[in-house]
Amino acid sequence: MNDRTGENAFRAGRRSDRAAYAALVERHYRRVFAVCLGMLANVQDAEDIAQETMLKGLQNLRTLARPERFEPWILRIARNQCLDLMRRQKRAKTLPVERKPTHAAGTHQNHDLERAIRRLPQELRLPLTMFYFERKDVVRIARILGISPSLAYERLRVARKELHELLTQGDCHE
Amino acid sequence: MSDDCKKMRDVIAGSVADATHDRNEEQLRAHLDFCAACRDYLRALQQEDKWLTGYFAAADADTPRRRQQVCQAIERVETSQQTDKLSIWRGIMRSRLSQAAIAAAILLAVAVGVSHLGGRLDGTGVAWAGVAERLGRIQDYTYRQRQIDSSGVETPGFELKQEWEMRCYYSCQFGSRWDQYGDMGLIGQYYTLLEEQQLVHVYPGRKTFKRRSQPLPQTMPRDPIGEIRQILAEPCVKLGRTTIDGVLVEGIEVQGQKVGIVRLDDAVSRLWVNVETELPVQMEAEGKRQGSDAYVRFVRDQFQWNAGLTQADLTPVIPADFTQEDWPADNGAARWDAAVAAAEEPMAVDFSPLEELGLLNDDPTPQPPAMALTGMKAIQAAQDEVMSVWPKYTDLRNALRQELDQKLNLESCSVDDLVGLGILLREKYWDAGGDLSPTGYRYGYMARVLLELAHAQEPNDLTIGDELVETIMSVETMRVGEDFWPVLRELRAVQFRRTCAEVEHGRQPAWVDFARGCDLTYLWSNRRGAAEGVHVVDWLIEHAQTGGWTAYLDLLEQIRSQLAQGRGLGYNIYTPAGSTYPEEFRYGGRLPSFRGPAKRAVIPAHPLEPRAAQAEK
Repeated sequence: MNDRTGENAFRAGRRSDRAAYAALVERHYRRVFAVCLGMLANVQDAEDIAQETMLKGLQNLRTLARPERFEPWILRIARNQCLDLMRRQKRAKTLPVERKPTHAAGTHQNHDLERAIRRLPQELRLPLTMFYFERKDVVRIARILGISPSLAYERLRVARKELHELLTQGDCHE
Repeated sequence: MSDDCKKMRDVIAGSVADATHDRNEEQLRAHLDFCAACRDYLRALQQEDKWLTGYFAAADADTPRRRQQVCQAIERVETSQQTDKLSIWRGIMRSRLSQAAIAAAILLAVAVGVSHLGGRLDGTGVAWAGVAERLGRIQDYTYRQRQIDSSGVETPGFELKQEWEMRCYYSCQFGSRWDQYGDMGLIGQYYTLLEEQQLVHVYPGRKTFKRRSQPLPQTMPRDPIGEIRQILAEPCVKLGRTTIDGVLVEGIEVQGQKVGIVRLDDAVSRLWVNVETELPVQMEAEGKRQGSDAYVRFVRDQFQWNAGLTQADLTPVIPADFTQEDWPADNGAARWDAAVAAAEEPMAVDFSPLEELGLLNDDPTPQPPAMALTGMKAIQAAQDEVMSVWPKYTDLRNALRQELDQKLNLESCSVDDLVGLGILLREKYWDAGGDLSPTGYRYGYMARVLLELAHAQEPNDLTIGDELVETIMSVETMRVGEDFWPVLRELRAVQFRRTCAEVEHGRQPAWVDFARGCDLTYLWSNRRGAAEGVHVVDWLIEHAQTGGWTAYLDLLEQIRSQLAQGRGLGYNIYTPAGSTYPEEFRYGGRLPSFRGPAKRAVIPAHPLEPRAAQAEK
């Protein structure tokens, strides 16, 4: 969040409702996407759910009692949407569809890495993802996830150890 | 792999995860100098860090496109679906709170960013290693200590928030003094006098004091400097900079409880140090009170280092009209230890009478679910899962009574038979797995049927009432349901009225009266029952001296004030056995008087409680 974004959003807010909301999307989408990716470990699912989240946010904006709490509110919606999807996938008894990475190199190395990340438990995967999306700022990650910095740090530490194990075992198949 | 390597690999994983977490850097460097395997491990993790950075950067690279897609989708949303969100959005940006939050976030980002660069605003950082050294040169100091209790969700319908405050004075030469404050002002002053080798407690409210000589250690118990040293010795996360009371401070956070007396679960502790003087400004810990949902936060602040305390500051001032209370040297600690040791011994119970009467289930004794009894949350989750699928007692009562009648011919049973059999069935309930057994409830419910019959025949017998309360609590916890609350309240209320009458006619109050009163206070401790709760606490305060529970007087006075203000009470006045018994977490969510299975019940609720003497025999 910075002043300029805030100023633009404020101007947009004067012009029209949707434009104002677009400014909110501009500011918060990236973090919403990061949370979805951290929970779902799949770029395309995360993309879909992040979009659904922002639309749901638009539909329910009037229920937001404290406007200054927009970010935690939209992140909570994102988490709930992710949990819904995970439940649906579980009910359908289908494994997450193995989609080839649409981004970056698509190298064997990246493919292994993606598989290893997917095998991490969610409570480790989410802080790990946020760590790289939030410029390795543990205090900020802790604030976003609503946990203490030391717990965030501990989860990162364990995540790195487990990820290394998964990568060196060469057993990243789901 | 050696233990040293294992430890260092934790440090390596931590250092790769967070570059600011570098407190073991020197140790790590020394280890890496001679350990090639760990050097390889570090290199591998650094390489993986690069992969991860690249992987997430690639995932992030499409963000502008995705954001654009979302905006387009928003444009497509039908106008009719939209409500007047413009005003809400304007609210977001116009809100002074929002503006303040944005400003604070920017400030925080600046402060944290600077901390991550490894320096302070003037280009240097707090030398944490030097903090302990500076504390070693402190001769005396004062501070404020606060404990904020919040009841959490343990008691539905109301939440308690209570704050306790102490002013503390420490001197290497003279000792210490704690002034405790509550809602009504100064509650007590507690002196530890090094030269006199004495403890002195002064209670202004009731105009009394007590004094005891005993050998004192040279280092102060609960000395916060010791706790600060513990925090400094732990792996930590740096919290960056902020200001406290206008002082620029830098903080660290460690996992685990390093501050305060009450035991906490999932605790974190923080230490904030003045950037200029490099002396502590604030230390704090927070977490859930062990074995309950209550949330506790300790804060120590307003430190004055080398405050220049004199002997006069640490000399008790006792007005002439204060009377001295007894304070026996024997506080029951030895008896307590003996009871705890006894509880560790196997305790065999003879269940053969149940077999002879055909009261044992036909199927083999049901076993509790296989689970390790470690960790409050795991145990409570298992209890809740098991107990929530039990049939209700009220649905089974008539059928069980008929069954018991067929086997025992209830009309022919004496009250003693009913009580004895009820207690044995309750013990069998625990033996069969108790609140972790899917089928063991049957024994507990049969025990309740028998004890209800006995109580109906002898309603004035306080002991039978106690056994009935104990049995109901054995097969219920307050977390799972609350149908039984009015039943327990009525039982305890009847006992209380009886007790008041008996004591008025000359009977000596006893510990068991205290336990019953504590139960009733808790059961009345919602806003509707405040007046009744105050009445009970008044009685407990009035008879503390003769009954022998003066150790709880301060707490009772606090509770009285709390209830009188219409505030709830979210915790038990005392908790038997503390955390000394290995399975203690199983017994949460019940009233103070709850004893549990015989093995656990031998542990006294307090060193002065008579069960301690029984255990000695």
